[in-house]
This record gives sequence, C-alpha cells and structure tokens, in this order.
Amino acid sequence: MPEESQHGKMKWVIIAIGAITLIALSLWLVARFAPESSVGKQIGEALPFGALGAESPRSGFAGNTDNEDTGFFGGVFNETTGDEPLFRQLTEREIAGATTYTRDGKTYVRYVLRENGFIYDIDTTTWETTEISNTFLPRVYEAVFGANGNAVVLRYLKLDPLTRRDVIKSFLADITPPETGGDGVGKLRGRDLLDNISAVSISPDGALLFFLLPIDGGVSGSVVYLTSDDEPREVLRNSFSEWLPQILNNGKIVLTTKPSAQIPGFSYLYDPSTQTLTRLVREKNGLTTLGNGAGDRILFNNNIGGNVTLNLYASAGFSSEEGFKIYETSIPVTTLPEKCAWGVEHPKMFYCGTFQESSKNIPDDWYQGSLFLKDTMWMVDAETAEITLLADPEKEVQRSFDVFQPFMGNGDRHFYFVDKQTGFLWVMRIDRPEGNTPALPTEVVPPPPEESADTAGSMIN
Amino acid sequence: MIRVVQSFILMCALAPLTSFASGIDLVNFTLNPKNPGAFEEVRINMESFAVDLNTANIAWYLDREKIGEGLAKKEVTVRTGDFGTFSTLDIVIILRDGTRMDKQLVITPSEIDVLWEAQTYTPPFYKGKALPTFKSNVRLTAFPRVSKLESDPKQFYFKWTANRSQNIGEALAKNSVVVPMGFEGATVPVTVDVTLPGQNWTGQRSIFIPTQKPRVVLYPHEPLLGTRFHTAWTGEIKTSNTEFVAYAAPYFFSLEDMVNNRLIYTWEINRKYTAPGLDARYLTIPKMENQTIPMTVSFRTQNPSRILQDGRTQSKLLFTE
Repeated sequence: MPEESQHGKMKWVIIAIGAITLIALSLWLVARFAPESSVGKQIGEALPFGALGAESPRSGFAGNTDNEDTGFFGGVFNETTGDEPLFRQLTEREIAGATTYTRDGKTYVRYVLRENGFIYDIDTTTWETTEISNTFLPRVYEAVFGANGNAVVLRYLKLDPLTRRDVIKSFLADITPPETGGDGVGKLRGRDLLDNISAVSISPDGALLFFLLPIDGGVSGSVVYLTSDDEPREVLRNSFSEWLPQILNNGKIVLTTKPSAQIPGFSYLYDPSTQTLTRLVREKNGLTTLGNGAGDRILFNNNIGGNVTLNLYASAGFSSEEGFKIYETSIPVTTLPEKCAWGVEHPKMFYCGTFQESSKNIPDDWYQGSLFLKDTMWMVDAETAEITLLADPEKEVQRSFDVFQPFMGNGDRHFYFVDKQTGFLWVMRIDRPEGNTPALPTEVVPPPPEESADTAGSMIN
Repeated sequence: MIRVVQSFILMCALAPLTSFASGIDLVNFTLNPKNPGAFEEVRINMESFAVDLNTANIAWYLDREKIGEGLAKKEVTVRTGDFGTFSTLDIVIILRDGTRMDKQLVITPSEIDVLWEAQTYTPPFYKGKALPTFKSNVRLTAFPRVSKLESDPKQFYFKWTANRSQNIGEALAKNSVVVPMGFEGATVPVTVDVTLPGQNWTGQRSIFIPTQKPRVVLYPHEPLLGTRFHTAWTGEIKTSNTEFVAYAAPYFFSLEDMVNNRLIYTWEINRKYTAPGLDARYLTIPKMENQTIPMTVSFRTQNPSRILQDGRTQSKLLFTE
C-alpha cells in the first residue's frame, strides 16, 4: 500500500510539473513570437525582464548603448529589408588601431586590441573574426598599420624605474599570419625603434614609415621603408619640434604644428630631397590637417570664435569669383580633419563625422578627453564641394558616435571608425550604385532627416 | 592673435627720366600689410610733407595698366600675384605747378612665419599644443619666404627683440631663440627683423605670446587598458569594481621641473589628505562600505620652482553594489 501511495503522489507531481512546463512554454512562445499582440504585451509587462524580442525601446538596435562597456556585439540591422546593417559594431573591446587590406580578392579588417596587443582579422563578407597574432604586449596606446596590413607599429608606455618617468616605446613588427588551414596563430617579429618617438605616420600606400624624435635643439625625422630591413634614414632636422607629421606616398611629408584652439597654426610640405619647407596653410586657429595620398588636396580646420570650420587646400588651386586663383576653399561642415577619411576607390571624395557643438577650446578639450562630440556622417566631393548626408546615428540607431581614426574599405562602401568614447571599432555602410557616381543626391544645407529611415540610401528621395 | 607689424618694400626704384629728381624722396609710400603674401590685397598710401599732394593729379599703373587716376588720389588697393611673380606699380604725380614726379614700386610676395613652442609638459601621445605658463620658456622659430613658397632660413639674418626693447639674439641663420614668459594672462611681445644679405630686402614680424593657466585632468586608469586618456574623469563616475585607480595628468607645467620631479602632488578624498602610492600621479581608491553619496576626489599640482604654476581639479566617485 505505501508503495502504491508513493506511486500515486509521484504521478501527480509529474503531471503538475508537466502542466507548469507547458504553460510556461506557451507563455514564452506567445511573448517571443507575438510580442506586439495584446496577450504578448501583457505577458511582457508581467515578466521581470521585460518583453521578449523587444530588447529595448531602441528599435532595431543591437549595438552597445552609450557609456556601457558591456553589451551586445553585432550590428544595427535594417529590419524592413534585412539588408546589411547601416552600423555594425566590430569589436567589444577597445582597440589601439585598425586598417583594411585585401587578400585573394577579399577585404579584411585587421585590428590590435589595446589590452594585450593581440591582432585579429575580420572577414568583411562573413564578419567572422580570426585571431592572427597572440604576441602579448599589454596596454597598447597606438597601433599604426602599413605594408598591406603586414607591418604594424605598436606604441606603449614603460615606466623608467630610475627616473620614474614614462618612456614611449615603439615596436615595429612584421605580422606572420597563421598557416592556412592550420589551427595555430601567427606571430609578431620586429624590433624596437628609439625611445620617446613623438609621432609616427605611415604613408597611405603603406610603404613608408616616418617618425619624429625630439633631440637637443629641435627634432629629427626619419624614414623607414617597410618593405625592406634597412635601418631608419634621417631626412629632417629642424629647430622647431612640435609637429604632427603625415607622410605621403611620394615620400614628402606634411608637417603641421600641433594645434590649440586659440593659437594660429601652420602647415608645410617638407621635401626630403631638397630639404625645403613649402608653405601650405598658415595662421589658422586650432589647425590640423589631413592630406590625400598624393598630397595635392589637404583638409584643414579653423576655429573661428568657437566654430570649427572645415576647409580644403588644393595645390592646383581654384578660380575665385573675382577671377583670381585661390588655393583654399571652405566646406560647409563643422568638423576636424582627423574625423575624416579620404576615399580610396574614389579619391576625390572624403567622408567625415561632423558635429554641431561649438567650443572655443576645440580641439584641446577633445584631445584631453573632456569633450565628446556627437557626429553625423557626411560625404563630400572635393572637386565640387557638394556635400551629402549619409547618416544621423542619433535618429537612425538612437545612439551617438564620436568618430575617431576613420578609414575606408571595400571600394569606399564601408566607413570604419573608432567611437572615441568607448574605444570600440564600428563600420558604417555606404550605399553606392555601380560606377563612380555617388548614390545619393546632394544637399548643400545639412538638415537632418525628419523621417526615420533604416538605410542611408532611403533617407533621400 | 598674432599681429603683423612688418615694414618693407622689396624694390623701390626711380624712373629714369624724372623731371624732379630731388622731390622723389619727399614722397613716402606705406603698404598695408607691409609684408603682403601671395594673392593678398595690399593697400598703398602716399604722403608727403614737402609737396602738396592734395592738389596734385595722381595716376596709378599696375603692370602698365591704369588702375586709378584723380585729384589727390593718394591711395589704391592692389592684389599681389603668386609667389615667384612680382607686381610693378608706376605712379605719376603731376603737381599743381605742372611739375611731374614718377615713382615705381615693385611688390614681391613674401611672408615671415614665427612659430613658437612652450617648453611645458603634456602627457604622452597628446596631440595638442603645449601652452606657455607662468615663467615657462618658449622657443620661437622663424621661417621667412621671399618670392617663393620654400623657406631656407640659412640665407637670412635674424635680429630678435622681446618685450619691445630687449635684444635676445641676432646672427646669420639664427632663426630660433628662447624667451621666458611672464605672469598668467599677460602676453610677451616678440619681434624678429629679417634681412637678406646682399639684397635690398628687410622684413619684420611681431607676435604676442599669451601666458596661460596650467591644467590638471583626471583619468581612469585600468589595469588592462592603462590610462584612458581619451576619456577624462569629469563630473561623477559610478563603478561596481572593488577599487578605482585615478591618474592625474598635469598639463603645461614647466618641462624641466616635471622632468626633475620638482612638482608637488596632493590628493584629497572628501577634503582629507590621502597619501598616494610610489608614483604620486596615481591614486588607488578602495571601495568604501555602505557608501550612499559620492565621494569627492581632489587633486592639486604645484610647482615650487615657479610658484604660480598651480593647477587643481576635483571629481566625484560612487561605488555601487
């Protein structure tokens, strides 16, 4: 008898568990697949973690929220069409630098993790990530790539135990990728450059590295050919040392004075073969520059009473309304050149994150990390000065980006950038028709799109 | 900010057949700007204390084309050409008594850039300019250009003057000097006179260097990432970690004092002195139990060698569960 009683109790327990499971499953199915139905909404409200399938009020958003270091990892998808997302988050940890390169006809993004110096590749067709190098180098502050992604300069700090001073180390390495089909990872092999290099630049074609080293009474500048094992060759000595350099494909170097918002800046083109400085842009407050690969077009900014205007210098010149030849023209967007990237496939185009904020202390506050900017994305034709709105992230994906270290890839169909506030790598899709003509009609006045849109292409009629 | 006070005319030649040669020197011309660059508008005025220009008929020719004529027309505005070109200005003055005076000016675009860099500290990888502060030193470098965009300072003779009368150096190819700054808020005027030996060219450029206040910025320092220089700790930070490491970056303190560890760092939490670790720029703040209101973390940097180099800041920190 007791056994029969036990069996009877067990049976009821199993039935009860089964019934509860069935009810819970039904509720979950309704909440998951019919969240907008009245039943689904009631269930969602009753659940302590909110409605399933509606991750946040930010419809369509699957990326990190502002100021949250932990979060999702993926893209902001176009729900209506299922197309590639307009914005895609590529890393969930801070990076030190990134580039794109092409291998076997496919474009990859290669980046360095800031925390350990590990290098990863992202296949831009599948967006899968592969570890390329696990050579450990902690706290990498800057990483600059060259030689089609096969060389990198990793910059980090080391405390000198005697002087208790920070020493800037620069490690120039070749990247040996893992063997195809193998399970292992690649390695970094290289050498330390001199201590306390103040600035480095790699030419847009990735062949030349230029660095500046402060010396007594000025600065020394040297060039390294990344495709050879030659030692650095000194090409510059100057009594003025506070330069931001950009080496061009032809070996000439754009030298721009370090900026401060209220101080006029100057920019020169240095020719190592003649050792002459040729004036490019002069006396612009808060001046920074970004030249294209050939150096015949240079973006520069000017802080006029807190309004940061973008301008274009062209060595070929423009015809002014008065019939004179001028070399500078203004671009009607507010941004800094370091928030822009020149097109690779379409070299007359450039792409920028632009902001609305005005401050009499840009770029100082931005560099010091005490000011963050909320950017909208624009495309500009350097020949016609026509500007085109590509995306307003706050309207379209309900988050802001502070564009930093941008670069182009995939035939200028992808605009890559680091969000300065989080340090994460993102990519924005740019829609183009076949051919060189930009897909989007142009707008001279930059009104943000009134109606929400999921894709850059659909914003403009 | 920078004011140009330059004075030179490249060539000033007499027309060969003047009818009043002795009167030529009695007419003076001034250019504004006195040292025009390429494609720059320049206003040219004439004045004389010896002849009556107000009753004279004056004709102006730019590269042999008449650009203006009239009674007492003592001023014209012309636009310079590109570097490597020159503009010839012929002026014919007919005085009321019929006396004719001819003058010729040749204007060649030229520029003098004076760049300066303060010998003050900025944190590693900082892309902005180091700014001058109280009693810090500033190094100036001049890049003159005459008739071409390129500059070769070795060709020029430089004479430097600070505070309007203090000679701080002159020599051939001496295109760089060091100047001490004054008090915060004041400016130090520096003038460089440039000549081109063997040629009739002189140039002058004056700039005013502003003395600013040093700055201190706090940053979160994370064991894996290092100091997050891109994200300053301003306002209030909430953290669920068991400790928080702050890094204080002094901006614009004299480099030599920074290098020689002469700066004094003082940390306070809720107005109570807190001893930092071995490196006083870092402060490790352990989690406080039962903390309900944010703690105030203050930091101050002083430079005893230059006592008015002093910066302070404060932020708030709240440990959450």
